[in-house]
Amino acid sequence: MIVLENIHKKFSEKTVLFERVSLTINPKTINIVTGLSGSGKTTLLKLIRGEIIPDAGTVKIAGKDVSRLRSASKKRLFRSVSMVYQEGKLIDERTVIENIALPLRINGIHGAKLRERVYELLEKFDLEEKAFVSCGVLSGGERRYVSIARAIAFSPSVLLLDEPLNGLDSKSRGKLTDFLCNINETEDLTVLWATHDLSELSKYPDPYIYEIKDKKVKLSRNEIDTTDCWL
Amino acid sequence: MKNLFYYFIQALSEFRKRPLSHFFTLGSITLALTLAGGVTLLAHVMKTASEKWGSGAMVAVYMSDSTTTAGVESIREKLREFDGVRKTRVITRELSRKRLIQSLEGDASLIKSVENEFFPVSIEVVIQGDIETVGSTVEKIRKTKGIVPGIIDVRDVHTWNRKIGGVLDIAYLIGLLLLLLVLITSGYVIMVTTRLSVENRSGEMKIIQLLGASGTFVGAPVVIEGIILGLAGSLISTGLLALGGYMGMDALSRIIGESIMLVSIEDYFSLQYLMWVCLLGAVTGMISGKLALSSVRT
Repeated sequence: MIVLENIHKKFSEKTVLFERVSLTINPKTINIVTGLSGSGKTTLLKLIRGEIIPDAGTVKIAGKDVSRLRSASKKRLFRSVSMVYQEGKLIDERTVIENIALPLRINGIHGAKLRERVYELLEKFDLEEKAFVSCGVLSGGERRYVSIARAIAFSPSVLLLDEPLNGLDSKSRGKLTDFLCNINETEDLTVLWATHDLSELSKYPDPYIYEIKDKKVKLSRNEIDTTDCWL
Repeated sequence: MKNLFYYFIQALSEFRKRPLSHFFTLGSITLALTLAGGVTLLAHVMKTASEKWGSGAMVAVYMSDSTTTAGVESIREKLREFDGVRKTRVITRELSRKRLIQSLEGDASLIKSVENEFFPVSIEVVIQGDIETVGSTVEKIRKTKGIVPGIIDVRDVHTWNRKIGGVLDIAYLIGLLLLLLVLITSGYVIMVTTRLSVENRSGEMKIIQLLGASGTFVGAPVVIEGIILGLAGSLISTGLLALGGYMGMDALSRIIGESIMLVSIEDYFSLQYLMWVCLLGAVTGMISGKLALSSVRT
């Protein structure tokens, strides 16, 4: 269970993003975070991941305050809460296969087990032919696939998606939407999907939508189901 | 431990990805170690020379033409009895002629027609010990001229040897100070170049950290890279130094003469030396990698 309590975050006196924001993220489902550009969608995701520390309030994952975690615990959090960044954050000099294998290596997976998982993901995203190509020469859509494949490689508990369809052509958008709308079931994940375009989620029935507006976050769907709080 | 192979491969792949920055890092490590090694070698040569030249002397005792072979041997026996005499050697007329021809090089043709009989027989006497003993023995040998039948002249190089020995002692100390200065400067240069190399991939390191990697996972390839560069630099610098050292010593012995050179660098370039230099290079590379990491890490 991800719980935000009384979060306050500002980057300067004029740019206050959140004021006393409290919310609970529904587990094992797709949660949409929406709002205008600059409203704080990415900041919210980074607050949840512990990449940004709130000025006040707490972000708790499985009962632990992420802003108070020590370095080693934070590394473990980064491994279980994956994020697909808008800019991809791929290592351009390394190949597709190397990028996807990174989280597995970090978690001590080697040899046949590593190869098996990497090839499973390559197949899932139709990237087999690009396996040994440097990420720097991939198209926007391919980069997004690699980014998502890397994010789910070590089977995280939570997947944070920051505008995953941004800048993609309609064909790639359709393919990726189909994949992402089922990802929480196939990979057993809690997904937070930040987007400013709700039409992206038209294929997903009745999602939880958190709207960031006027420094607050409002849930605009039915009440949160907390019967299966496994986190 | 399982990641060690991965770190090693990552370190090696960096050479392929960024050849220029690695070339500069390797160059600075090699230059630094060559400079440090050069100063150490110079200090070694000076120390050996100061020890050998400061505590020893060589005297040439010339025989009259009428001295027979038995007479020469008898004088040689007497010379051996003086304090501190370590070695005596009879320089025959043939050897004298050969030495002169060698020393004249291009002009040797001028004396090629001169017969052996025109060259004197002499005895080279090597004296070793403390300065007082050496001085006293040289003085005693010098006084044999005209007293002992058959000895017509005595020439020694003792006086200037002793002076040079004193000068070399000071030069050795200066060499050690210079070595310290070179090591400090080189360490800084290596740190700066390694830092540039690390800065080039700080973005990559940040991404790996965001994936949850430990400090070891992020930093180990950089440290291993530093060790590899340090080792490579050590080997190259040793090769350069050995080449330069032998060429320099060869040139020096041609100038001042092999018989009074008395200094050799053959014992300097031992396996033990190579191991120490490799260790120094690897440690330098490792420390500079760690320092660069700590100054760049976010």
